[in-house]
Amino acid sequence: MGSAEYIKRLIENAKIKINPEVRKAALSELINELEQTKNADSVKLKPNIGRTIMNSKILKLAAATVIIIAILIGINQLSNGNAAFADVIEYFQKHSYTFDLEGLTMKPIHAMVWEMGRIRIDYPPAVEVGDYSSITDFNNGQTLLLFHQDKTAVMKKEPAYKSLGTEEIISLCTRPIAELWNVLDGAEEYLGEKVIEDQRVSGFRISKENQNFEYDITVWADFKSGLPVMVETITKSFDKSYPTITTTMENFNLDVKIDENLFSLDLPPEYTLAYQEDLENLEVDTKLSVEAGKIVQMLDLALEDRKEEAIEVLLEIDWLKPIEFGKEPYIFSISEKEYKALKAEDQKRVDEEVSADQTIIREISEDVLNLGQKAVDDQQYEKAEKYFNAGLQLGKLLEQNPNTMVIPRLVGLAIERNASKEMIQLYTIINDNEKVREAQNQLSKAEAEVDKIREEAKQINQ
Amino acid sequence: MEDKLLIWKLNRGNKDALCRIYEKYRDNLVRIAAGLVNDVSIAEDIVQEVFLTLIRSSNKHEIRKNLKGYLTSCVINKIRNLNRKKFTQNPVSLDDIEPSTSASKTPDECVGCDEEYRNLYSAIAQLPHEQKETVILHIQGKMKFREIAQLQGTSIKTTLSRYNYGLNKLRSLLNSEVEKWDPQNI
Repeated sequence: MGSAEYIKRLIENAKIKINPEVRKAALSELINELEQTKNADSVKLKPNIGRTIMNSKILKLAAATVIIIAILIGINQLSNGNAAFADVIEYFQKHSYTFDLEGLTMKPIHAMVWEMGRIRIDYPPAVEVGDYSSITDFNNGQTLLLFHQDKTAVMKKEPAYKSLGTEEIISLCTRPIAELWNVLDGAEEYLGEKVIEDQRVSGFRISKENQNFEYDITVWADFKSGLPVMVETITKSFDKSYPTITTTMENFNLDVKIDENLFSLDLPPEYTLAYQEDLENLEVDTKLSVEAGKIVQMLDLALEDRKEEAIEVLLEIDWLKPIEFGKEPYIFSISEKEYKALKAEDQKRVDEEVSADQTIIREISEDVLNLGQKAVDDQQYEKAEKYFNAGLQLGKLLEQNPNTMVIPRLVGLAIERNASKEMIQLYTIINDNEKVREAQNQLSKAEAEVDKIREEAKQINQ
Repeated sequence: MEDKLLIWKLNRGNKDALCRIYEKYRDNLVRIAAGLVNDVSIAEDIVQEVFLTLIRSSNKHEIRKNLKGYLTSCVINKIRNLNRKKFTQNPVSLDDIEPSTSASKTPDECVGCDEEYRNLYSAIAQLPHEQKETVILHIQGKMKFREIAQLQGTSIKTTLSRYNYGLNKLRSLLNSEVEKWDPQNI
């Protein structure tokens, strides 16, 4: 025992020679790293679904491919010689048409083209996004993305197809028809005839390239009418890391009436335009009430490591009086809709604040429930009820407004459930059946609300 | 709670919070690492990497309860990875395995410490890694056996047994010094 104690003390007292210069230099390196991380963070946008999709190959390629088809229909007609190219172009400028596009997503994409200038693509449901649509105006490059489950919209003013280098193709659409003749005349290769699903078709191939991509496009068109039956595109990047993408367009419906409203770039009334608003401009029409001020004080105290005082303040709150917050803390003031509308950097700021506050609230609620349990052990039932009720009310405060941010609401519901369970036990001990039932109802209500939120989330993810 | 506040501030890029965390934990982490790798320079590098990882981590807010435990675990994991890497890069037969690669160093090459402790570190270096880890974490890291067991993925009994075996082995390795020990001198 004695010698073991000696070794223990020897290890405890062991000093190593730490070079103060090395120590200082190491700290300096860390500070530099922190500064760099801070700068990077300030420009790094929070990853978000809309942005990811806007930048995805799907949209870029869908946009580019659809423009290409409009040109190809013309090429086909030109080569076949059955109809004047100008007539065909005119037809497409005056008519709407639809087609299915395969190869870019697991399921075919349904696309609708309206008057040559606008296209709407309805995408199959994607993970975490649900189903969504894009509406692009090729005249100015604007694209409106609509996320239907979430009722959120993203407006992208810069052309989504810009990085594909397809501007020259876009511009062709808006130039006089005569120019199209000059540019495309003789570019195609005749592939002969074949039969696709009992339909006699003629084939043409055209290869085009720009600084980034090489396109190999094959058009199969009806032998008599010259209208397209199937179009295959192979897009190869000169950058080898970019995969070769093969798409097939078919099921063309060239005689279709489409609701023009489907192509509107105006924000639908029930949708929120994301990533537009400044946090500073956010307006709140309520002011901090006295009791809400105590909640703010509680958060501040807890943040300063004065948890006991924070709990004392929490217990002083009169929950029957109005509890209204001003603009801050954001955890109580910002709605999910307002959050989505914020610019990405402001969303990040709100995330940080809310995350810190909800951590503190969760810990304080755990502490008050523990204090309540201790009071139950000591048979101080009134005191226990006060603690449990404080936890319950704190949970309710977070979840009572269905418009507030989802994650804090879930935290609030979890607190409410835990407090209700404690209350059921307490009231069972003191044989207060009415209050047991009340607490049970409270628990069921909170659990039902959690299920509802989960169900909504599941639907979005499907 | 103070650690949580520091992490929250660090998450917001607060330089003072970083300095505070560094002052509070750095030296002890270096001591723990040095005890395990038997080399102060390597220990300092490991701890520096751990701090860099902490700064770069985007999930700092998830370190809610125990910053010290988190940093210690990171140091331990880095050392384990280092040992694994060494073993993978220089595969040896079972017959060639020595208790520690650093144990073959002379006391002078060992941890940069006062002379009286060089023999201690040299002896620690000869312990099997799990025993060494348990002894260092419990005595220098002030970690509870339960926490060490959790970190090592073993039962508390195994951890206790490793600790006792480790201390016994150190006792026999440092036999002469132990005999000279007089509790009054401490």
